[in-house]
Amino acid sequence: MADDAIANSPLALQPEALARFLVLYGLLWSHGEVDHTAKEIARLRNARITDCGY
Amino acid sequence: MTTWLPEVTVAEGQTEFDAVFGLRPDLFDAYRDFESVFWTHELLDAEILDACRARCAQVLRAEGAPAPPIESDDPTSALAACLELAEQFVLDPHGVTEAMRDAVVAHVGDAGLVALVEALAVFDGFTRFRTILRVAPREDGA
Repeated sequence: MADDAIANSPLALQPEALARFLVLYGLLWSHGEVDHTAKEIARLRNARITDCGY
Repeated sequence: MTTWLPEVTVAEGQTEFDAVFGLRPDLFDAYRDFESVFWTHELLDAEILDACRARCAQVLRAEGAPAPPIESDDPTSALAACLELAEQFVLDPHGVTEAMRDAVVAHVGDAGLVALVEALAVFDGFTRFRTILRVAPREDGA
């Protein structure tokens, strides 16, 4: 996880929550009915609308 | 009971939220594990978590949100600091000021601030989930 931006963020101050979040987030991206491209477009659109620099 | 989603039937002892999210059981299990950790590992005081969840529901005008504004009697308390940040988080996170963050940190530390913001992401996101999918609230309004 050395290069993991999430794992190296302030979220690491709460390791129990971080571990569970990463499971949920990983599942969201690796499985499901919605194809990966659509998820990525939605993620980028969300970041743009909320003016998130990440 | 059935919901507006034709594939979803709410079983005895189940909530609509359980039934709808249960369409993706793997995600639902992981969600429950994440959502519950704030209480089971006491990452923040349960009273603060419950109040912030209710305040998020109020700001988002979610079905089942309590009517009286969720407030703290003591404006210098941890609860007051967390509620102020919670409200701004939902309205516009860019409006969360350094003073708001500092006020929370003064009571619960850096790790507590992280726990609060993570919990708010869950409350805000899944209140929107419930609103968009027209999922009835649980008995506690969440």
